[in-house]
Amino acid sequence: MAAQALYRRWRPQTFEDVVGQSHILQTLRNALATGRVAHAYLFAGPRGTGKTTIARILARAVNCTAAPERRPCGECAVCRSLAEGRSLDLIEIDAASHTGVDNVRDLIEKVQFAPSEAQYKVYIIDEVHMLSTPAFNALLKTLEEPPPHALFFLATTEAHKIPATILSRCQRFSFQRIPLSDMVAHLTHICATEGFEAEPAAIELIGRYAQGGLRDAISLLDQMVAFGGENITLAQVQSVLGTAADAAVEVLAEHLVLGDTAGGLRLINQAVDAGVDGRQLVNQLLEYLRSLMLIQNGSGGLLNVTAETQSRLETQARRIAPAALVRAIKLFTEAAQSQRSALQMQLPLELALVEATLDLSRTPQASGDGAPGPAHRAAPSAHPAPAIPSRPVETPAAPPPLSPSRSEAAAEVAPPPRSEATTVEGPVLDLVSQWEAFLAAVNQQDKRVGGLLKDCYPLEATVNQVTLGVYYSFHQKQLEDTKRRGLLEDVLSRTLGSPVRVQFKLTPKTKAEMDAERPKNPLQEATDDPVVKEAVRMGGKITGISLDT
Amino acid sequence: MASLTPLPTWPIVGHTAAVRLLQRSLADGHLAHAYLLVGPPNVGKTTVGLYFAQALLCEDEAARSQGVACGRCAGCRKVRERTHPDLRVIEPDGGGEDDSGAAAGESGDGAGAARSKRKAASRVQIKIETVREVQRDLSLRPYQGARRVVLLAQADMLNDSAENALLKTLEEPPPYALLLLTAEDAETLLPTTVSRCQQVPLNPVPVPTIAEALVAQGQSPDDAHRLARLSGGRVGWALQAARDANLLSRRVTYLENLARVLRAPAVERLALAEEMAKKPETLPDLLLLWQGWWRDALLTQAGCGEWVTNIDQRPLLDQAAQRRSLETLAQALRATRQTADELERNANPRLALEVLFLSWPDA
Repeated sequence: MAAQALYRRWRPQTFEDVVGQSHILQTLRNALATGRVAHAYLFAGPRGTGKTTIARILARAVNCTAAPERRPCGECAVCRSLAEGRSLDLIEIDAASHTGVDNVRDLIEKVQFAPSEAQYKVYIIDEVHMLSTPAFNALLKTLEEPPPHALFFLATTEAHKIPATILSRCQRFSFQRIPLSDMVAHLTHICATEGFEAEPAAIELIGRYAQGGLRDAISLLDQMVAFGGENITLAQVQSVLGTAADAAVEVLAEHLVLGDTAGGLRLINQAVDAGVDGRQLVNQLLEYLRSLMLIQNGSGGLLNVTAETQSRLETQARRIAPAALVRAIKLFTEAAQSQRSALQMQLPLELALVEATLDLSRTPQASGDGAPGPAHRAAPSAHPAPAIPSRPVETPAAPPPLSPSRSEAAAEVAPPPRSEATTVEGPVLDLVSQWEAFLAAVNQQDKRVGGLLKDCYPLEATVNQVTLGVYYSFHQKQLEDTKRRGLLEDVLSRTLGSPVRVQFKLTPKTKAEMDAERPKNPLQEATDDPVVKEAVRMGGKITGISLDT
Repeated sequence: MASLTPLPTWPIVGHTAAVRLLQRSLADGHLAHAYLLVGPPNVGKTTVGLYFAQALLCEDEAARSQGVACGRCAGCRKVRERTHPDLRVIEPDGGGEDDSGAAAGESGDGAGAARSKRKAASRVQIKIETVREVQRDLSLRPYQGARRVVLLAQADMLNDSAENALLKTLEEPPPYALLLLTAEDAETLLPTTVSRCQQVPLNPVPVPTIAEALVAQGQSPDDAHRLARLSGGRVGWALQAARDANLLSRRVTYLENLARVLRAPAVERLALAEEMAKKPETLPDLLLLWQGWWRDALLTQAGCGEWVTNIDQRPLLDQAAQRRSLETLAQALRATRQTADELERNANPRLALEVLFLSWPDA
């Protein structure tokens, strides 16, 4: 009555039955044929890729009495006793529940005894990464020079946890995830043999979901059969996995591209109501956005999709700006990583969607003229920061420097003026914060212009005009050259996100004077300080500054 | 095909797909050796698991062949009393001592309870000794029935070595063994663990289904609907709230706190933060609820009001949505979420709350 799990029934018994891992099989076969089987192997790789299976087959193969190329034959007495688990010569150890040094000592003691019926005594140590350090160390000598009749096959999913001294004593084989095509072929084969009817699309979804772990795939197939009988449909698989239909994901991405927050939220909620798992939905969306990103970067060929889908993806990819797409991917990745269960999974997803769509709807119009409130920029505390615009704005604005000695000066900061009539905060703010990036961008295009700019600083900026201060008339002349100015305007427009014209203005002061002046202004420095700014925002007032040097 | 004959139903609210899977497996003899029930807290994972165990260990052959428990035989009774020799229930904090009162209280203490437990006690875990006991247990043949069942509630509480130690057992247990694991999120388990089990997702139960169940328990339809809505699909919470008025009044207090903070100017918010930080054990619940509230505000502002969870908050939500931009609301939600995360990582509650409150928009 207790039907064995499908994945156990289908555990390969010979090398031929193993799916994938041909690089390992070839090596092992050759070793068997030439009689050069090593005394210790380490099988490492992700779950469900065949480590334990191959270890068991190999255990039989080395002991099989048939001709070398037919090993393991599965028929000789040794093969059978090994396969049935009644041989004394195959010792399979669960290292994860026997982690201690005592377990290893016990093993070492018994290694000395010759095998009872087979040629070799084989130790399969599974989940070997869980052995304690003393246990590993106790094993070292035995693993290095075991008695001639002993073989060790270690298997683990986490090879990085194995001490180097163990690694160097084993031949190591890295198992790879099983490719989707192999997996689909194998699942189809199982279905045919077991008499299940399965839609190809259903099989493919199972294969994709398993992500290279064959056990996951077969286990899922088993579950499908238990769930809906021997007819396996795509809809069934989707409902058990909680994945959304591909069409729904496409629509969700479309909402994203259009910046349609409400539509996206509605779709998410409908999907979740219909039993879609929030986490699956995020992952599917990410997969989809990744396709868009690949297409945008000319790697559409990597996608494994039909021509029709590909062309639809391409149209969509054209309609979203690469930067916005990357940001959306980041947001959703973050949502996918939050470790929450289904109920709370929906919330990160919704939040990511809102933020991504907001981001999109903002990008085209860029800096906000007339946009309500200062909360328009991405900065978290987006309240008017009083000082930043006035730093580059030059001499007249700066109050007379206070004496640099230990003095206390009373200075009242009036609630910061929202904007200074001619200057709009947004762009200057941007320019100051992005000055470095701007310089770098210019440098990339033209080193000379970059060099000239080093002696400039942002002076003033309005919505569509930026004035840069220059110290020397020579620099001004050089920069006013049409070509150079064009380049600057170009880069600047891109940096700020809106078209800008550039002007240059010669300052009466020398560079040294300017530099010397700036740090001498304690009030300025104080108001620049993020802590002070935050305090002012919450209604604090600067009543005095005490210098302390 | 055998699966077309209708089967008697399980006494479980909702979870039709999951129940169908388990029941079919039992009736058709397609049982896997390990199941992983995954779903949010209080959705009914342990309840489903226990009933499944009961059906597995039921002594009435006829009932079992239909995938249900008869509910009358000695086996069923012992499972309900948790004294069945072939059933082992492991819960992280109960540590096996299962007086039923604690069990009920534990399952109903609100969604946050499980999480606060998780946080309050990185100490609360299932240790390797317990797993070894399970292994010893499973190495013995069943006493009474044909099976030995292990229900491992909150397998995400297994510590690292315990989870690894379970792997081999989970892969190839003796033929009579059946392991039931529950977890909030499969991703918190080792991929090797998940890959050895059949995963059974328990999604939040639809609101009408919960409402129906509440009505059947004697609630008035209005109350039932409201509770069902507030539960967000967590049956356990809804049932508990129906029995325990405290749970609801606590919720109201939490939401009032939120309103108070929003009304207060910056300086008073600091005082409120100090006050609330005095009860750190309430914070996970509090923040969870607040996240829900901000989400609702966000949905309302985006014009998706029909999916709002806290329906009794409508007027306030409408107000919030009118006055604030989508962006402000999204920021508030993000900040709240972040604070919850930070608290889980042992941040200073008072500081975290202060920062949160100051970042929230003014009323």
